[in-house]
Amino acid sequence: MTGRHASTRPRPFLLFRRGFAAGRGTAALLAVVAALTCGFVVAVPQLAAGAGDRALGDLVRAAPPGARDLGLRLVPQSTQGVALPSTDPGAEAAAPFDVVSRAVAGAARATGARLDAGPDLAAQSEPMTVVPRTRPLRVSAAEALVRLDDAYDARVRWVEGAAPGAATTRRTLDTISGQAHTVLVVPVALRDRTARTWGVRVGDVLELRQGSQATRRTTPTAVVLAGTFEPTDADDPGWAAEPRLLGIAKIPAPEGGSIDQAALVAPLSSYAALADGLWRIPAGGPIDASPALTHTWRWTLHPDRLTRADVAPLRALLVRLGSDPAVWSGIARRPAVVTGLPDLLDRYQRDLAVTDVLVSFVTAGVTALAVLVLALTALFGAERRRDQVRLLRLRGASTARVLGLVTGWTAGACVPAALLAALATGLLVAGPVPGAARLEVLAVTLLPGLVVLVATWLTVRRLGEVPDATRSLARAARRLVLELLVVALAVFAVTTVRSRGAVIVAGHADALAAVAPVLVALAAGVLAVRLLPGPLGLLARAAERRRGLGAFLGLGRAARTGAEAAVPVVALVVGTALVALTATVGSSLGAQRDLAARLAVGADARVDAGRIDAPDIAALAARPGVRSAVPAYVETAGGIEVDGRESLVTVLALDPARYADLLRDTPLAFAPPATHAGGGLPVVLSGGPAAAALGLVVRGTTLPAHRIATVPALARVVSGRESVVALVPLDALVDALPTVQPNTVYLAADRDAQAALAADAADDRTRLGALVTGVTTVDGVVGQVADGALASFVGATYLAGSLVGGVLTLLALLLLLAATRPARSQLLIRLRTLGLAPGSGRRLAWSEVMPVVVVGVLAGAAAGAAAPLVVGPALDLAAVTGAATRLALEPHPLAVALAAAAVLILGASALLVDAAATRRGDLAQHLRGGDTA
Amino acid sequence: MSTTGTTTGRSHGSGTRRGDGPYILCDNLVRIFSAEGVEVVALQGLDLTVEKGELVALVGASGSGKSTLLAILSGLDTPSAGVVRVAGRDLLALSARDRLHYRRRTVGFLHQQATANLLPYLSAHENVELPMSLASVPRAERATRAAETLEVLGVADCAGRRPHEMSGGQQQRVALGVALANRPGVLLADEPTGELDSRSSDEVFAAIRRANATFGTTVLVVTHDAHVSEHVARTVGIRDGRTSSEVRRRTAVDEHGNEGLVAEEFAVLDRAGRLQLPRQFTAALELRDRVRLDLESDHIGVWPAERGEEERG
Ligand SMILES: Nc1ncnc2c1ncn2[C@@H]1O[C@H](COP(=O)(O)OP(=O)(O)OP(=O)(O)O)[C@@H](O)[C@H]1O
Ligand SMILES: [Mg+2]
Repeated sequence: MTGRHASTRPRPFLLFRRGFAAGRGTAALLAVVAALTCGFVVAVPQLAAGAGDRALGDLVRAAPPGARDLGLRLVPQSTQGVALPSTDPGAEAAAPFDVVSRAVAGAARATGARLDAGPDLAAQSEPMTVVPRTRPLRVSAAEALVRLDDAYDARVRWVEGAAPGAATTRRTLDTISGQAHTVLVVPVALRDRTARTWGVRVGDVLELRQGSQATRRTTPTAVVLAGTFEPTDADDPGWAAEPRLLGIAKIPAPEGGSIDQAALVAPLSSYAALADGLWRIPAGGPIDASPALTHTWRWTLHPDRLTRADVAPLRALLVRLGSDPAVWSGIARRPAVVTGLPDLLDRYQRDLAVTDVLVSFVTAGVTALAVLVLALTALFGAERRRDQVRLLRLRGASTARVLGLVTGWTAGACVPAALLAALATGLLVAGPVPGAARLEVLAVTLLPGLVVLVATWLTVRRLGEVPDATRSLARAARRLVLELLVVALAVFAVTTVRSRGAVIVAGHADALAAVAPVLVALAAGVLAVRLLPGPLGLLARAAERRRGLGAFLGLGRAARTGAEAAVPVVALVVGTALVALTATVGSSLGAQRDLAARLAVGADARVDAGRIDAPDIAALAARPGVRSAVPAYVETAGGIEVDGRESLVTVLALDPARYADLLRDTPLAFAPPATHAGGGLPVVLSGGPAAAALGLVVRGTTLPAHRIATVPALARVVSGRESVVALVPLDALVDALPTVQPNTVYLAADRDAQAALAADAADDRTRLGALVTGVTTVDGVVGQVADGALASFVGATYLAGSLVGGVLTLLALLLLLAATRPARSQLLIRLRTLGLAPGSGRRLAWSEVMPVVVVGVLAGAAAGAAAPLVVGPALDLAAVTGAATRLALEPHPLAVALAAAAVLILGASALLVDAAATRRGDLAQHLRGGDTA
Repeated sequence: MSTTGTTTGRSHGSGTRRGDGPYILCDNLVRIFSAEGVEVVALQGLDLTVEKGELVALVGASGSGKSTLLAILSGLDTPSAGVVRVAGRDLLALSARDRLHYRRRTVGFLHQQATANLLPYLSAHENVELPMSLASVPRAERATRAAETLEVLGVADCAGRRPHEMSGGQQQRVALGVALANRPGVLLADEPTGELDSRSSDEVFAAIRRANATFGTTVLVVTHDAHVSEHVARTVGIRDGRTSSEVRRRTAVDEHGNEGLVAEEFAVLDRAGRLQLPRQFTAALELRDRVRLDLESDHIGVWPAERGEEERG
């Protein structure tokens, strides 16, 4: 403004500015609520996007190696079928690495997929029986595989000897059938610890003969130990490709006892020498990859670098590698793609969609509640300006001008605050702002002004209007139409969400699903306002007969709760519903995470082993905090056979009574069915075929069995999938199949014991038993899931959502009190002059406001309790609970009750605040309020 | 320029001009309120004419319909039936735009409560300027006219003050300035002195008279204050939604050559020939239900029904 005259003040804005300043309390409230809400609805999806990016890393990190890398695997088929021993030199086998790597690199370039590291190349033999030629082994049985891999040199420190070099010496071996086989002795390396355990030294020559689990008929070969090493970092993920390089695996021996398995390592330059020993290609034969070796390529993805943007190119690459023949053109043998990435990416996208839906409930709820509270505040402000509007009208202000002023006073506070907050949040928090958030910001920005505009327009029109019975009829009709509209919308949303739930679950975040709970709450609010007068009128009549005047008058006034209280009551209902829904989801998340973990673990804790012996079981049972330990034989790839058809089950062989006792008071509790006589083993199934007589397949042997009961509660989750469980008494199974030995111990353990167990296992699991392979605890699984990016984000959002909901509800309550205060204080003053006792004033407020609050809270709690039923079909909590199967959201009466109680307490505290404010209010002002109200 | 606002020359749209008729004309005005199923007839066939430049006091019991009449004349409310014409405009036939123009230019309104007449966050000067800016009076003129108005009303010293910094009487005089800012032809004041002590009330009333004299504004003022009504030339009484009586005062010179105020009380005879007898008359003669009328050559006699029979009998 460059004023040419001193008098050229911006007159047109004088009224706006002064009027705005006069209502700055309201304006400040509007601005703060609008800004906070916009900040919230913008930040939440942005943070969700960030959490989504991290979640891919989480999934990759949690996936077992192999499931998270891109691997190729090639076991060349042999034309011969078996390897033939010979003393004649053969043709040199050629490793297929380069050509395949080039093909994959080309496909990756074409799809834009980013493979962070690799390929790591390796070729390895099957484990073979170690026959020492220099000195005897210190262990009864040992098997070793030879891994050809160049990546290890950098990860080790040589303890004795040196890195293995090229094979130079030859040796002639005898096969089992007595034929001579001349081989090159391949220099290899072994971990120093393993070498000491086995009692082998540098320089020792070892013969390797076909092992106990061999699938290929190879010829024997010989290696010489050139060096022993120790890893510079045993936790380096590079070792995960073949854990037997570092540790000794124990496998049960067919004749009892166990066999040690370890891996020998040699450079890829020994490929031809090793291949020649294991599977000689006759001289003049085609030069090809060795059928005795498994060739692997491995590209690794860096969990910290993966984001949402990597998903589509990775998928495209996987599709190409799997199905595009052009990629493999010119390559004789096509390697198999070995990766869990497709499953992982599917799961990731489902997780993202579910998170979006979950988060959209909160943002939509907060937006609706905030708009209601803002509209309420704005209407409250407009109501206080009613006289000014009348005066302006009288002085000849046009309707447009009056509307502009009053709306401007509201929008002047709301719009800049909302937009600034949204903009600032959008800039300060990283991440894209989705369209839904923009819409929500727009709603918060514009709706309050719009509400005031319409309300003022109606007021202005009515200023000189004949208050006519026909007109009030029209108004009643309008109100009814509005109410019916809200109810119809809610019904429409609910039916749509229920019928389209499956589609939404499958990953289509849906605007209608997001607003369905809000619409239900709004409908409940409208109904509450409509139905409120009935029961309150009855109460008032009852109070008239029994209690004091204050209660009667208050209840009577509550029953006649007018339009001024309608919006606060609806806001109260929506607020309570929001708090109840967030509380329900919050507690469901906790409970379902626990359940999912228990389904995966099978008890509080589980110790897995190749075999576990009685002393180890006794030691586990004796640990502090362990109530009971039940040994079991678990076979996840067992089966049941009905009418010659076999289906996969998990065989769980243990003492049913002890297991039931172990699980009592947990969500997995079941009653052990009584055994009754029948043919064969008594089996309890968790599901599956209904036939009574069946065959139980254990260790490849089909045993006659009969089903004594079906207990669905026994179903378990095995490697991420729900599995049918066949429960059979362990002693009966051992009688039928004496080779069966316990390989699992289920424990009932308190949290400390679980933590101690997990810590001991991480330290050195063989301390728990020689063949122990791992320990899983419920707390450990829950913790892992809850710490995931998406899970912790959803948890935080729901907590923040219920806090924001609580604050907004408190505001709505205070506004309800403020809206009814003038009429109340007027009545009070009149009653005082009639000699009402001072205490009755407080009772008047309580009995007037509390019933309204109670009804509002009840309606809100009902809506909040119903909301899970409404949105349940559209919601799959598995993403944030770690469950394998779909877990629906269920109503949670306790959570709803707690939420309702919390809002009631808010209501009571709002009354106390109001009472304090009234008491502190200037008496003269009080009286004048009585005059003019 | 200062008084052109009072003329009715700016005819607008449908406002039919009747140059020689009364400035304010109410004919058989009816206003029925219906609230919660009960019908209240606030005005039941009210007739009133006021000439341009007149200052008329309206008196009447509470609930007799005074405020209702003023609301209709101010263009805020519309009658259920009847004719109402102000400054040549038919208020029933005004379009929304004309009504706005009418409110801006033709009438000024003064409420009983000073606070209801002024915006609390504007100074006296700004309050007076407000109606002018609403009526798009050129900016340069607003300031001078506002100053002039405040000067005439004797509150020039309050120009920069906000309402809460002024006494009740000052507030009401500023409010009068607001009402007169656009130099309307008619000033409607509904008990403007009702909340004031007698001194302030005198000041406000003096200001109203001054406005009437200076700007030629036609004034219709509702008052319960006998002190006020005794000092106007014409007082109209309203009873049960009808004009019932009228007192006209004029200065007359008596036989001794002294000037004195003469008040003559008239009953109002409407166009249907209806007449309301003053309550004290009917009470004194215990007139009830039926009366006997006698037409004489120059007057009509009214007798109680029985007594008239006795005297005759
Ligand atoms: N909006 C309304 N709705 C219903 N009835 C009304 C309304 N406004 C006025 N009335 C009724 O019309 C009648 C005339 O009211 P009005 O306000 O004109 O009286 P008044 O003469 O101004 O009285 P007072 O001297 O007390 O101000 C009263 O009976 C009143 O109750
Ligand atoms: Mg009145």
